[in-house]
Amino acid sequence: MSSNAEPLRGVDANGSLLTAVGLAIHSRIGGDQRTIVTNLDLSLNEAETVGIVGESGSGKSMTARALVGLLPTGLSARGEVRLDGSNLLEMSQRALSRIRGSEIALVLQDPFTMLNPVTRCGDQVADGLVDARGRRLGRRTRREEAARRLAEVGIPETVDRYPFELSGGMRQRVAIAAALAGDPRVLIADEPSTALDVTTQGEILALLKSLQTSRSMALLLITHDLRVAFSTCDRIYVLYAGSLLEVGDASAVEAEPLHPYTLGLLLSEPPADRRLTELVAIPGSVPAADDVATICPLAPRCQWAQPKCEVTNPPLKPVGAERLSACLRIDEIRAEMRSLRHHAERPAVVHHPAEASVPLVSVDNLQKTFADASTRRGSAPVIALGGVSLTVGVTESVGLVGESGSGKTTLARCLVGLETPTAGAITIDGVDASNYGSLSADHLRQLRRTVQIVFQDPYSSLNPLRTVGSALKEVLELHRKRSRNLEGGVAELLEQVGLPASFSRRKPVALSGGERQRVAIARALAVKPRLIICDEPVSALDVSVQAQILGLFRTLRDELGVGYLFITHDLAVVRQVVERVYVLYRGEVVESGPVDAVLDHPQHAYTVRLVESVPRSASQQRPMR
Amino acid sequence: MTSLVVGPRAQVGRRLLRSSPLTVTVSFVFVGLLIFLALFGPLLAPHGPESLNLATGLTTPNGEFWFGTDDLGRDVFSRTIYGVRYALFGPVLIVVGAFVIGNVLGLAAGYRGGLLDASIMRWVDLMYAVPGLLVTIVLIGVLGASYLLAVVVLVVLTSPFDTRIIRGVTLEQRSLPYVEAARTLGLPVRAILFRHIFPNILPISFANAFLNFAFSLVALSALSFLGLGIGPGTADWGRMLSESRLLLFDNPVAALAPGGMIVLTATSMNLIGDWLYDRLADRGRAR
Repeated sequence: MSSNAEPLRGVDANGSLLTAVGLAIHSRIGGDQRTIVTNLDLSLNEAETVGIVGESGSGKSMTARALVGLLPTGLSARGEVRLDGSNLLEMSQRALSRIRGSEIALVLQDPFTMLNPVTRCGDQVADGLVDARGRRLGRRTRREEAARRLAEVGIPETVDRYPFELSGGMRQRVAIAAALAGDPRVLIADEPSTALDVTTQGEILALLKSLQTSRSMALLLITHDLRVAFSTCDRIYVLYAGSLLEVGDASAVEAEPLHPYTLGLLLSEPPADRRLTELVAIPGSVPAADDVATICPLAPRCQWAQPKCEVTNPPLKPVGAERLSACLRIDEIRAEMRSLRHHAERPAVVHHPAEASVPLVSVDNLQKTFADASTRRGSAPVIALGGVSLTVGVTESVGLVGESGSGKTTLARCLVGLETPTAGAITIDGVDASNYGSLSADHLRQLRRTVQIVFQDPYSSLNPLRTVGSALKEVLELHRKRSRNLEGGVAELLEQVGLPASFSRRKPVALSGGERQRVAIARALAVKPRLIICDEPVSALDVSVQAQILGLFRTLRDELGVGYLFITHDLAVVRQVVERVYVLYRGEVVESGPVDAVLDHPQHAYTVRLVESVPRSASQQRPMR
Repeated sequence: MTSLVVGPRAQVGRRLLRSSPLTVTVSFVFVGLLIFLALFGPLLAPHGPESLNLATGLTTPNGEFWFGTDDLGRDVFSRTIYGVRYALFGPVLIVVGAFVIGNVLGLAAGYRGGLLDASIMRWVDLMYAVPGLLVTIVLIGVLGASYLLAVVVLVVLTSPFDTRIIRGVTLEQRSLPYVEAARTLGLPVRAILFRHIFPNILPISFANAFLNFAFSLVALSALSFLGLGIGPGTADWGRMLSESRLLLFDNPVAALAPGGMIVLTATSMNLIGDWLYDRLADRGRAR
């Protein structure tokens, strides 16, 4: 940034390479115009890494696309996006396509759909390359160049391979190499690590950071994860419901957020290195930009909101050196915010319930193999579980940690009878649950009342055509035949998960993701289970909502004494909820024990890798006490 | 970037209508007109369908006989109106029959899987392999021409197509978490199938019914044309077409009117079915 003394090409007076002034994005569907982003100012300097942090619906991805003129049909941008003094928003598609790739390049989230499946990786990278005179490279030089580029991202051996032969992380590397093929000065990366496994995420971020440094290009990183932004970026823009709420240096923002939203986001993301006494969540969910156009966007969810916050949409104003905040009351509430954070970050002690003599669930040497239907008959079957043993005590919360493909979901499905294990034994509450198909009706009912499951995707886990009330009533009718007051039962369930009774008349389409997940939990609670299997229950939710749901899990446990088998890839999440943890790797348990012991002193090489992949900024590496 | 759009059902309905192209709107109006004619046609028709005017004989369109008359002096216009009933009645029976059979078999095959699925699907494969109209002609030739027999044979021929489609969408719904949750909660299979899965696939089988209607109308008319459906002299479009094909040079309208109606009705149903399919296929899918 400022260390670059010599003036660089295309840098304006302020030293900015790419600037956006008053950027506004609108969508038009039929006659309805909706605001996606309003009045966004942004600058990106040479050799700088800037992060745009926001939850889904904040407009961050559309901002990234607007900067390169790749907005989807129906969306339009106004304002200015300046590169080399010219406004990109006014350029023709032809002129833009010359700039894309050579000046600005884009890396997208999903590595599985981003690459052309029928083109070799080398060609994906080198296709657009031209020599000094603007001619297409010859076959041989092209291949050499492609190999060189792929070596830069650490995978030179993939030149002649097709995308489907590669893992997600490798595909993302190919995509990055392809984006960098035209030697752009600006690289925009839209959630480049979100779709990847935890251990791969860290590698991709480190790769981006090192490429940014070695090429001294500017990197604009779009992410929903403050921890990722803190660990990678120099400066951070916090975007919420289409408006910027805070801008500042990453380290300064991390040390002291100057907007209640940033603070809330920071506190919503639980740390992986300790358990918090209380999870602070921002109540409610992200509003649409138009609903908060004339007020402070956070006002409906902010504990410090006052009538004056609901008069205008406050603009960013400087707070101290190099910091901007859109909070009107920031000077008054700074001290309160500081003490809230101090209070919230106290570590809690994990209580271990007395070890019961007979566990509620015991799994012994469970195996599950799938005959792979996609390959030829007679080929080796896929081993999802290769002999897993674990126990869950009464009222105990146990974590099951692993990446995709580790078999954790298969295990969960075996436990509730959605899959039948190939070998091994499952005993639940004294009943042999290895084969649900052969159980008597009584035993089956007993199992259903003992173990329930909550799925990952809140959007498809409720029947879209049925109201919340009828979904809950149906279960109550089945399992509590004697109770006559079904309406009361529904209201009680909704109250347990923190929803008003009036929600029983709503259909899932009228609920947000967090609300749907609450309904799914209420449905599981309707049979009064003793154990709820939670299969990644918060990973599809926004960060601020995630903390609410984790808090709900804790409350339910204290009030109802229900235990959990908590399946997740997120160490921070598992730290907040469970007492014991099993680490699953390629269908086998590689490590288990109390959560503190396993995460603080991992023994197995894989666990060590998992723990190290949690994004950490410099200040987080030392424990803050 | 997913922004959750919360909209009441009325809004969805309005959007559906607003986005319907002109051809679909016209098709809806036309089908509405047909239903009206089927109900009140006899009150509107100027002449009886079978009333002979041997004195008039064959005429071209004029003030009294708008579409002219056929060789027996029967009013083509009135016969075309009376024909609406046959044109709707048979296909509706076929559509309803195929709908019931297709949904029951499709749901069972898709949800249960295993041997049941294999047997049902092999039956479907067999029916796909059979040259439908040819078999119908042979069957009716052996058993004797009858409208009802034609309808039954067409139900048997159409239902495999429905079964295959319903099985496909059932498979898709079956693996969705809301169905798995229902299974885990211990709901009976009947409740899962009819309370949860069926309402979610209904739009697709409904749209499919329109496509079936068009197919059945054309097939029934073809059988009538060949003299394998409804009895001679009846005011059925296929029959009228066959009986007036020799009069093409004397009163072309006698053949064009029923022929045109068959084309227009089948096209309208196809357009509506296609449009419904496009509109509704994504509904109920995970967002």
